[in-house]
Amino acid sequence: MATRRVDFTVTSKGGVQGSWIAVGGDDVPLVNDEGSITLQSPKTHFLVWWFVGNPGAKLTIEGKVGQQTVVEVKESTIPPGQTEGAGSKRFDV
Amino acid sequence: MHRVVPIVLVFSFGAVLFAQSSPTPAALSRIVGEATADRDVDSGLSTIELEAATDDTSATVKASRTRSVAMPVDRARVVFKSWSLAASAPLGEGGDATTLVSRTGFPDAFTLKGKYTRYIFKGRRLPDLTDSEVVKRRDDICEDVVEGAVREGVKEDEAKLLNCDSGTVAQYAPHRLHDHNALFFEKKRSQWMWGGTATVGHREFKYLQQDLSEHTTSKTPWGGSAFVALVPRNTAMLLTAGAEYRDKYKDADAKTLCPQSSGTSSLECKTGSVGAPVDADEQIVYLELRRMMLSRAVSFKALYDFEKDQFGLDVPIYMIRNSDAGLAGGIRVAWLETEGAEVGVFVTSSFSLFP
Repeated sequence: MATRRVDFTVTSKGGVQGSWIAVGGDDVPLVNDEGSITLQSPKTHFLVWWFVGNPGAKLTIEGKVGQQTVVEVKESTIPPGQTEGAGSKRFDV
Repeated sequence: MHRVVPIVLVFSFGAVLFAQSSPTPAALSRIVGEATADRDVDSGLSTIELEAATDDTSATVKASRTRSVAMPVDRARVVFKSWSLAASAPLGEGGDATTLVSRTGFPDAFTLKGKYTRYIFKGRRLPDLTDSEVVKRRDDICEDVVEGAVREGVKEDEAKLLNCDSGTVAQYAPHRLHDHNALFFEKKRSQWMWGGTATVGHREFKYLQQDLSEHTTSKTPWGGSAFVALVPRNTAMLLTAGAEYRDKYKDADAKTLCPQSSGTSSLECKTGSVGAPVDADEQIVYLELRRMMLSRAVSFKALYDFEKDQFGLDVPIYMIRNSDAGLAGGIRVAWLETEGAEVGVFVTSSFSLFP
């Protein structure tokens, strides 16, 4: 099976104090809100994210293979009264 | 890989609009008016910030740069480290605007400030999404989110595009929030952070000698701080303990000096600080509780200055929302052991649990 490198970019607003992402069972270390992982292709994968910060703080994640966006999470939000949030999304590479 | 770094221009200001009578209103007004806008590591963006506090001498322009690393320590523990370097300069004519409660340290001097923060989250769960049972649990929750959104009037095709995350589960399927959290978080978890700052500055002082001659001298204030903070589980609250040392200077007392009278000729007097700047060091320890609720937020800060041998309290209560729905203004109560209490109204940048 071939592999593809996916480049992730994380942006935030509203007071996100920290965020972490993983694909499948592997963490994707982020340096200055950017990180990469090599994935098998063609295959369906799960993006998982966690973040902490103010209630209502929002996190956006974009994963690209070259210039093509393969997964996008728009404004995942920390619930009211909480300081942590998480989510998951399927995507194909 | 090149990255476009956005430049954000932030204006924030604090202002005392009214004040009750107090023995030394000017000093306390400075305390009440200090805005809680010190958020150098809030994001990975470069930021230019303008701040203005009660009197115009404490306005500053600030440019900062932040770097961060998010990485796992093990499967349950992750850390987020950030560094920032900020340069700031006063926009006014000096003055002694730095107060007991000031966070930025030297608002009346050109400064370079480095800051390091390490955030530790323990209790993360990395779900095994190769396990069909785990995937089914996840998909069932996500389907409940879609159904709940449709029930609340969201069109079905739009509901299917919603994130499947803590926010949407809390909004559209709150009865599944516990199940969703169980996928991504351990039952026992903790969040805490620690960090510190180092600041060095430069400030010019002009003063009069007894012979009425004018002199200029420059000083290099410096300081450092350290803190440790904890987020109690399931609460939007931050408890912080910290200490700060500032080696700084202030103008000597202002006086009006007149030359010796030579008889009938008129006198030409001068008013200003008389003598070289004097030490105004600060050694502060503090405890702070920051709490965010649905419609308001509050910070309760108790501190003690060993140099001045006095206690102080600072309690801003945020209740006014800005255009971005952030809590950006309200009522502030400040108290100094030697100077009494004062109440004021303030407007500033949005409240954050993590200053």
